[in-house]
Amino acid sequence: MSEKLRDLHDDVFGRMRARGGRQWRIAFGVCGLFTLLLVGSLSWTIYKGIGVWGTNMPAAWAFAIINFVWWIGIGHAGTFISAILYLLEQNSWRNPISRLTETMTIFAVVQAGLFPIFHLGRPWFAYWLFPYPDIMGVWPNVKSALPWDAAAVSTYFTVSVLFWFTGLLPDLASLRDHAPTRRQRILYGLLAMGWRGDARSWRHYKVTYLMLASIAAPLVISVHSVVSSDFAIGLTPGWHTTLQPPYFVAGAIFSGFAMVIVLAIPVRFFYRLEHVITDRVLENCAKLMLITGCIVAYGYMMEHFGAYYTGDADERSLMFGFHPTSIAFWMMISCNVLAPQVLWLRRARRSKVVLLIVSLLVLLGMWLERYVIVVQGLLRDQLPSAWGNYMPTIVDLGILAGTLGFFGLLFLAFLRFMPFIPVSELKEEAVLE
Amino acid sequence: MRTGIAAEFADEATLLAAIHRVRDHGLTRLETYGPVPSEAIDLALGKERSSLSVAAGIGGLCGAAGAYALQWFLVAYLYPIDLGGRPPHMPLPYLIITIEMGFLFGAIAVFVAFLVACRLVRLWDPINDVPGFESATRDHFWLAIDGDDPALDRLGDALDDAARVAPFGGAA
Amino acid sequence: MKGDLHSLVPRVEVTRRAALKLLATGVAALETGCFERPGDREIVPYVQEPPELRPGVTTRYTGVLSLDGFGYGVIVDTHDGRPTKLDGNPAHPATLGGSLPWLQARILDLYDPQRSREPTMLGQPASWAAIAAQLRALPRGPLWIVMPPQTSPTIAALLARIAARHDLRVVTHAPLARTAVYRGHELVYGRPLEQQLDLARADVVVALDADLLGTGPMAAAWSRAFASRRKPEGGPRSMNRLWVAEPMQTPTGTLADERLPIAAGEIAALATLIAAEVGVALPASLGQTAQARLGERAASWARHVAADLVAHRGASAIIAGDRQPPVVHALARMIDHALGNPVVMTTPAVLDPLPTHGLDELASAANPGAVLVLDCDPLYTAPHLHLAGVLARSTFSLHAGLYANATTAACRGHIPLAHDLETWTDPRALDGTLAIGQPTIRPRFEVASIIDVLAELAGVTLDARTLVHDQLRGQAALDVFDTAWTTALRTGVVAGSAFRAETITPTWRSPATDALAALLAPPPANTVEVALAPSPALHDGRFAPNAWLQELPHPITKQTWGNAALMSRATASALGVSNEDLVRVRGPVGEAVLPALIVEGADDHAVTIELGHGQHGPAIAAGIGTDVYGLGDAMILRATVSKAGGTRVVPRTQIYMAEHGREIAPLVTLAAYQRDPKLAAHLRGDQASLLPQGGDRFKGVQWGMTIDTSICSGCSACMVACQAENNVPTVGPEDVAKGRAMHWIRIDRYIEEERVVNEPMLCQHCENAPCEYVCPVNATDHSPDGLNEQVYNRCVGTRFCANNCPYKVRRFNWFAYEHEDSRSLQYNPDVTVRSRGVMEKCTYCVQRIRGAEHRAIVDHRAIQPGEVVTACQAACPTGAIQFGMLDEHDTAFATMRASRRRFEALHDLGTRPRTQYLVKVTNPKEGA
Repeated sequence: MSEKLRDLHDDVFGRMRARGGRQWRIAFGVCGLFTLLLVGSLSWTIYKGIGVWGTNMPAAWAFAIINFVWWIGIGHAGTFISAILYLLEQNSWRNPISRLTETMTIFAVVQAGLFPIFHLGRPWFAYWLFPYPDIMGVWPNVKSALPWDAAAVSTYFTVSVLFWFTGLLPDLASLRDHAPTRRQRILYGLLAMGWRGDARSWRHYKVTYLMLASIAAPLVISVHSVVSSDFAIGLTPGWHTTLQPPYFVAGAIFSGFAMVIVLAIPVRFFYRLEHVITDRVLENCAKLMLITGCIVAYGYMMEHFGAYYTGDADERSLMFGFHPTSIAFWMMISCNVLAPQVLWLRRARRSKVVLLIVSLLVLLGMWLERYVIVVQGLLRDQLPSAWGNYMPTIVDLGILAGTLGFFGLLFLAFLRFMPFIPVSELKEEAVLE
Repeated sequence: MRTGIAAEFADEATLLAAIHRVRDHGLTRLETYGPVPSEAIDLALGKERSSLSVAAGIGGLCGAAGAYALQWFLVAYLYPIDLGGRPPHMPLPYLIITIEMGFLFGAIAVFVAFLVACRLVRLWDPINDVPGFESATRDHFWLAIDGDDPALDRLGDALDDAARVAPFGGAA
Repeated sequence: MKGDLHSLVPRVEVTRRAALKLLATGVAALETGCFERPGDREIVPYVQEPPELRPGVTTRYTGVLSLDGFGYGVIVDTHDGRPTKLDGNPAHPATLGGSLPWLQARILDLYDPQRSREPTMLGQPASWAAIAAQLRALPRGPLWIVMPPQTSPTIAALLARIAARHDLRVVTHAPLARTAVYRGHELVYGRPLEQQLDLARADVVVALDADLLGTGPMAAAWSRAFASRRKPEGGPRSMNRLWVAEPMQTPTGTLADERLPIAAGEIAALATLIAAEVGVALPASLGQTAQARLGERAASWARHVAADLVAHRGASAIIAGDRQPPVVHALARMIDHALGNPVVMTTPAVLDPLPTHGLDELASAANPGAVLVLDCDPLYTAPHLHLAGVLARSTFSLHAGLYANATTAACRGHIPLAHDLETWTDPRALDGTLAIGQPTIRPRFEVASIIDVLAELAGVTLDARTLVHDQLRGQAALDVFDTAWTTALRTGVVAGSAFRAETITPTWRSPATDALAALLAPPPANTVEVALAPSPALHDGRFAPNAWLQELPHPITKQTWGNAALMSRATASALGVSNEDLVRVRGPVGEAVLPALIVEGADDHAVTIELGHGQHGPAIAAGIGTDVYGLGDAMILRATVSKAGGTRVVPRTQIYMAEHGREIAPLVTLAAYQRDPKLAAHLRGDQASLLPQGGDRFKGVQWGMTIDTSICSGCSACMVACQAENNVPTVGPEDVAKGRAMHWIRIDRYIEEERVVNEPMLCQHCENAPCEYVCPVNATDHSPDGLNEQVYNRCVGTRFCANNCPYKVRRFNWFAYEHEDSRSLQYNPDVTVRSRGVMEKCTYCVQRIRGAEHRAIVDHRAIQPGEVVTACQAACPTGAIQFGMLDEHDTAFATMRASRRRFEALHDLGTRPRTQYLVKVTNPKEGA
């Protein structure tokens, strides 16, 4: 058994250390440029005002909120995989990607967390959304969904980081103990916080991990439900429906699995980890993406059925009329409903190219879904005199591209410096076999 | 353990056998080190399941109750504001932050309790100086016997199956 | 406080964008100097303050504004010696307390940094004293003065004195002068007369291409009179009927009960037919020609009009628009006479209603002598005369204007003109009522008024105040004069100065027949009518530098910052254009390229374009819109219109004007209303709700507002008044096109086929406000007296409240829009100036409410009904907007609140708005 463990350890750590050199550097450089774009765009926004974006009246929320919901949604699949699949004891195929996805969650939440601050007209007062005793004697309004967002997203981020970090401890200890240089040993040693793998620690570790997974799992449902309540508590047509929480949660997991596939396929290719992140793993991800995609499609149907059944003139006009945003709607249907249907075919699920293309389409489609929800409802609300049009600006696009670059930057850094395959969990599985 | 004897074993089975022998010899202050957790080892050591779940539960309940109480205190008692005719105290909206804070404080509580219970952030321990101890995080299992264990002299040949035996922390 | 302080002011290149945002703060700091003039006292330290000046408290003065010579009495609110707000003076016949957009906006001109700041001569800075000396020393010889029509007795006297010293030729030039009206009356009365219209006595009003409620010297007063007869609650007797024939929708047309789209050039035929039907003795050939010229629809309409007029003989009124040719006005008076309507004709208030000298005479003068151009811009408004040539030939030329405009460069010298609020004036209203205008602020620059300039020419060494004072004294009994003078200044009018009615009847003569026959000739083929119209905001273009007026949405098209070729849907498809496509308009003299806009209700054979745009300076006006003065020298032209290719963005504040089946702006006929007065009951009152109702949320006085859509013409005076009162910024054409206009009140227009409803939309102050519970930081809440409050300093700018407002009345400061130049002097100090990133919206003028509460507390009394008047309510010339306490009795607000026409917009959302509306009721003729 010890040979198994040793071979596993050496093999996986060895492949993780194969940094890819030039390819990694190029990718990191490109992401770095986009990160600079992000910094520049956000600085420009703070300096001049939200007017440099395309938002207007009536579309007072646009790209920033779309990006926020999109990124948080992506994050949810990470926790779904690492926590919910853990509780459902799917470890055999969940383990290899669980750390990748948990990391994806954290970095996605970092991107998302930029927006509630920077979309404010006066972002330097963002802390007013938290309760602290101030001179004005005023407190935040807990009936509004935005402090709920603040609570939910900070909870989600904290719990994810704690969960992620707890899981990292044994592998960081491995890196510390087998570090080639003294500097690395010190760095990893600090991070590993003295983990020695003693039985006492392992006992507590198992329970802690289980507790954190049990806490993170309901967060998958609750956080995106809270984010959806940003819309559900408002009276804008298309927003004001009880469908939002389950519809958003399903959509979140849907887009998240797409991102997992988009990340997992290159990672296993460039690091030659096809035997760790196996075809079965990818196939199961594809299956879950298909299932959640069907739920999302059902959600679209229910939106329209609800508009028809309730007879609400504003809802009907929104759902069944033709609007400037209708192009986005039909693109969304193609990407989210039509494209994933190919995954019913086993050949498609096994083909990395098909998976990658479908996943990218799903990511685009889910972004468009948020666009349709946020912008279309606002542009065509109850009072026709207030109907307007919306056009994003270069700064909007720069920020979106910038967050993609920043996400890539963080993720590439993680790939290089941290153990992105949970070797200790793989060892656990190996022992149990 | 400040001092003691460390023994390296090639796999879990050998370690388990050694634990049984050592315990039969009456030694009780033992600890094992390994790359994976193991219920069998815990059973062999006679340790019980960790009670950290209690920490999570208490933390969660305190967080939830505190959040609801804080909301009520600030919004319904200290400075109620007329917001479109909505009553200041509304249980359902309060529940959202309550639940989230329950999760948050449950997680923080269990994590802090974890650090405390494992006596973590102790970057160095005497056993780290044993040469080859790095294998504990790779593929081998280690058994450490406390130097202050009263039955230490009855150790005998209990550790004969070990790949390596070494003292740590000073005198043996 | 010497005048040369201004020479330290750097010449700042003000681009429009910079002019709308901040200028160098150094400029603002240096602009606090003022200009010393003869007659001012020397400075005395403020050891004892005058009792009427209390810091922080508004002091009100009367004042007078002039436009095209006519006076408009205003009440000027001043804070700490600075005028900040204008309102109509209820005692003055031109406004009767109401306003027009330009009247509200003139307060901004006072502090405009684009105003010219120093006199120049031959391109070099000069002093007023030096130029005045040149004026006094002008040699005896030809002297031309080009200026807008004048009504002031002081100016008349000065012109007489100048005529004694020089060979004086006065050219009265204004693109919108009412010369056609006077010529028309001369045709039938023998001399030019003015009609004093009394709409309060008219059961039937017929407007032939006359926007009598929207533009024109008496629009505000006539709106009030018209609205007083528009009360559906009183039954058919108390509700008048308005017939409108016009080529393009106008505010008057939106209130029409019966409307005919017809080209402006066809109005003459229409009037002829109506005249023939009511019994005016016209040559029969005219009637037949007219009948042939009109289509069946127009002819049938004319017959219905005539029948209605005859049915209400003695209690009707017919009026032709100012741009109609003289003979149409003559016909209108003949129709009045035939019906026995009580027509009041008086001497015109303008000094020379039929100008003896014209601009073309000046343009062709070989040796013009000295030419003075005062308060107008003939190089821009009469480009086909090429006046730059004659100015170059003159021995001396001087331009006086508020701004340096196109004419300034062609003249040798330039004097900044005094704003009406900076000098003494005495203009007459249309009915002759004299009002003495007093300055309410010392000018910040070296300026001169028209009276000052004319006094120098006349060799008179007295200042304007003395001249006006002495002129009035010359017309009053000496022993009571001082009281009369003080009373005139305190009340704003000289009592009893209106002209008396002349006893005279019109007679139709052959010159009129000839003129009419010429008009009835068919127009040239392959041409379409292009009707030039005054801009409701910019008038003839003189207000182009005013950002409030540039950003004021057009009452019909909701266009801001520019003009467009307005045409019907059929015309547009015939041309192959849709909204914002460029069209080329080729008039008799010149051509213009501008975007097209489709207007429902426009005549298919007419294109309407507004004047006043396309100027080259000052900065705010530069390049905005298209100049159409060059198309021809009449207001109604024949031209060709073709597609030009390309598009230009037309910044509009409302693009979608249909109701889409929602009951937002209901309209019913009087007959339907009388059959079922409960027609609006389902649109008001309590809704089933999960929320607890009642309770002790509301304590004390409760505020509300009711708006009668039956009498809202869409004139938009309320929009500018709100902007002035509440420090609402302007954002510029790019941001308006993006949908970021900041107006707190807007006039929504809903059109469906023939029906039009104007619905002013402002914060509804919903009792169950959807905006309040979504703000994360409690920046918007509800007050115990029923106001939805916006707390600016708490707002972090999430804009969730704007999303949740179904009426979309909330505004966001996308950039730092606040003024940092001299325009910040206009800011109302009682209202916060909002910074970037903060939401704002209508507050029911909460500063006025709290002010009234403070006064009531100090005086130990309750707030009186009518004590709090919101800015929009005060400005509304028809009285459509009424604000007050919910428990008032016997006020206009209380009457409206009790009306069965009352409804709530978007009622079924359950917001319980305090701002409510009255259903629009029209009074079409049965069987028409």
